[in-house]
Amino acid sequence: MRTAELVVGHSEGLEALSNSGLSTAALAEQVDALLAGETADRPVMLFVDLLGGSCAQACIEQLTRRSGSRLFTGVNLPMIIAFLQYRDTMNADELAAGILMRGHRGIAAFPEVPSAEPERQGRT
Amino acid sequence: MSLVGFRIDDRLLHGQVVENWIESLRPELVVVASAKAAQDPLIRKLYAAAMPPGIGLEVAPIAGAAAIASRATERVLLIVGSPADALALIEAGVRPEAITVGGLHHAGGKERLLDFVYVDERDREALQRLVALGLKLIAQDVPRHRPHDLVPLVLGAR
Repeated sequence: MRTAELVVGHSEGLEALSNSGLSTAALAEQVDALLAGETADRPVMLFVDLLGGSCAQACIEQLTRRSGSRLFTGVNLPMIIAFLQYRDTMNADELAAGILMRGHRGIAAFPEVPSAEPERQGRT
Repeated sequence: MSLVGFRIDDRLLHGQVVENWIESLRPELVVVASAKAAQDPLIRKLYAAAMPPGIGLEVAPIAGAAAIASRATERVLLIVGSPADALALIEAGVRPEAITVGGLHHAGGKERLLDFVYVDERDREALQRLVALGLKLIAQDVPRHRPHDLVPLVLGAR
């Protein structure tokens, strides 16, 4: 968050939580408490590290409560920077697209690894 | 049924499982036994997206999960959210060699057994029943950490 603030110049509207030592339910309560002051018609952009992690589970309930909200997994710094840059000028869908695009674009290896396209989606 | 793991964890499918245990136990099918998760379409979608490619996933209430695990021909990793749900699975006919407690987190009124294992009266009773049924009870959060024998802690005086 501090680095994002250094790059963009502010970190308004950005809050951080840790899941350390918490059950999924306890973390979900903290997310709730953090968003208690926000009106339900304002979409929330939620960023978590692991796609399969407990933070993602704790946040996903918010999506049903606040329309236009999105959960982003695999968070990286470019995604946070994009959020801070665009949050005041874009609607929720445009903002989400911008965050995803910048996040993807921010991942690279040098020298390039031509065969390392990520696989997605398990069989269900 | 070839059960490669039976895990109790109040976070169900989460980072330690997806990033570590699936790598180490190499299941072909992961069965999440939870009535709550089974009826939550968003959670089901999240779990499905989190699974590594090529590994099957079923999210079902306890009875359904027991049936799926029992008739599965694949290597199965079973995950439940509480000792009571674990007991229900055993009573439904699932027969693991051992049960691993991967995480029961601190909450009001829960007593600490280990840093990642806190139990209330109901949890303790269910764990004691599992011991009485002859099951090994191990506590281990990630594969590279040493497993703890939970039996003396579960049976021990407070």
